[in-house]
Amino acid sequence: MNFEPSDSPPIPTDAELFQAMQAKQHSALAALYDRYASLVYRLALRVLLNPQEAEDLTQEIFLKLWRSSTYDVNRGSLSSFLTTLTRSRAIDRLRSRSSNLKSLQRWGNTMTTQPPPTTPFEAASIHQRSEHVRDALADLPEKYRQILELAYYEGLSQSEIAARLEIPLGTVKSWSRQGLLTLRKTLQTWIE
Amino acid sequence: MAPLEPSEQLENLLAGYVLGNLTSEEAAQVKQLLDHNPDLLTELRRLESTLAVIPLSLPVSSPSQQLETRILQAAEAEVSPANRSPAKPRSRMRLSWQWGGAIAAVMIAGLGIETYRLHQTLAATELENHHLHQQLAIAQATLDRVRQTELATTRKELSRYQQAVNLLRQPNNRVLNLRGTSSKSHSSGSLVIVPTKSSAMLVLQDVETLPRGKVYRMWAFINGEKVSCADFKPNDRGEVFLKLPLDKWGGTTEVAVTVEPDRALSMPVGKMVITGS
Repeated sequence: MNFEPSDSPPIPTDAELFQAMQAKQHSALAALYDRYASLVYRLALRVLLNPQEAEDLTQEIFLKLWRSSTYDVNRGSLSSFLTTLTRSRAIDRLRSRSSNLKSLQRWGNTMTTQPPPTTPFEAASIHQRSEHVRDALADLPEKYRQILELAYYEGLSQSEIAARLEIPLGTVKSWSRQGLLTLRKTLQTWIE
Repeated sequence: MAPLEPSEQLENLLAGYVLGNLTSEEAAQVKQLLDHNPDLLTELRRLESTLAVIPLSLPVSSPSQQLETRILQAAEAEVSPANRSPAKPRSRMRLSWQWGGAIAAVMIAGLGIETYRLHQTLAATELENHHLHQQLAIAQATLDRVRQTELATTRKELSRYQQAVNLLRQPNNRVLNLRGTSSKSHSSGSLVIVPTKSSAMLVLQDVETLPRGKVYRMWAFINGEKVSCADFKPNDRGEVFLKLPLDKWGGTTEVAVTVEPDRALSMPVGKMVITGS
């Protein structure tokens, strides 16, 4: 094995870090934290609108990851897993805060069993990915974006969105689907 | 069954499925389609991934620096003593080579990640250092430039004043007092004509700044003719301090300053703003 020092050690992939973390390597957890803490925290903060609660949730998510009981590397990218889990837990907290314990309409519960290929999107840095998504959302018609964000960040059901925006339920469904499909097409070269 | 290319209607159903807004009948229909068309799973996964990247658009914000320590400490506490490494030396001796190899592999992987982490930290520190050095270098260069410019300006000014003092000491000098023509103007100054050096010193203060494309032009009256002597503009403080060559107009007893377009004209066309006699 070659132990010669090199200027830039190879960047471990998410899968490698996750594997090392399953072997209880703290440095792997720390490396994953460096990579994704900001993403998890900003989503938690957006939903909960409270920095302390957002930090508590960030801690919960990373400890859940550390216990490795919920993530399967063959079921999707780690960043998608983290955002899906963070969103779901944040909205649960939001709902329990308002004593509304209505079960959360879960997204992302249909993760496929195909091993995910390394996509250009996953390979790009978080910073680059963020810029692409920001541009893609900015290009989306306002009505689509608004509905997607209401559903995503506030966990509102389609009928709650229809009531809030005073538009027919069918329109909400149609616009949210169109929004997602348009976003998917805009990010096509990245999410393959 | 042949791979099914998602039609518009099918795409719509898949999007609805991912968003969780299908009726129970529609959801059952999608499940059935997915069972029979594995290719549709790929499209479904893309839609899920698309939804999952939405939070990347949020403005960047980071938790407090203590959070990482808290999480790592909590993770450490969760590892049961039996799982902690390194194991006791005696028990390690009994490990088979196979287990030893596996542990070595994990440790080497761990070392690699630790190296990566240290490298990341080092790179960040070096970058910060580099930025600080850059800022220092820029500040130093700016300071040097200011010093050089100030020194050069001061030397030039000093030289001009010395020349002026020398001129003013000459015998047979004549002085014309200059005043603004308008009652609103506070412009004033002197024109010192130094025949022995064929020069003149024009000194003015409170001269208004002119718009772009305009200059002040001084005219001397010689035998009823107006002779152009010099074009000038005041400095930022409204001051004029000029040494002029005497050319045909050394005998003048009266001068005027007009505002003119910034090009040579044989006759004044602009407004007269200062006169002197």
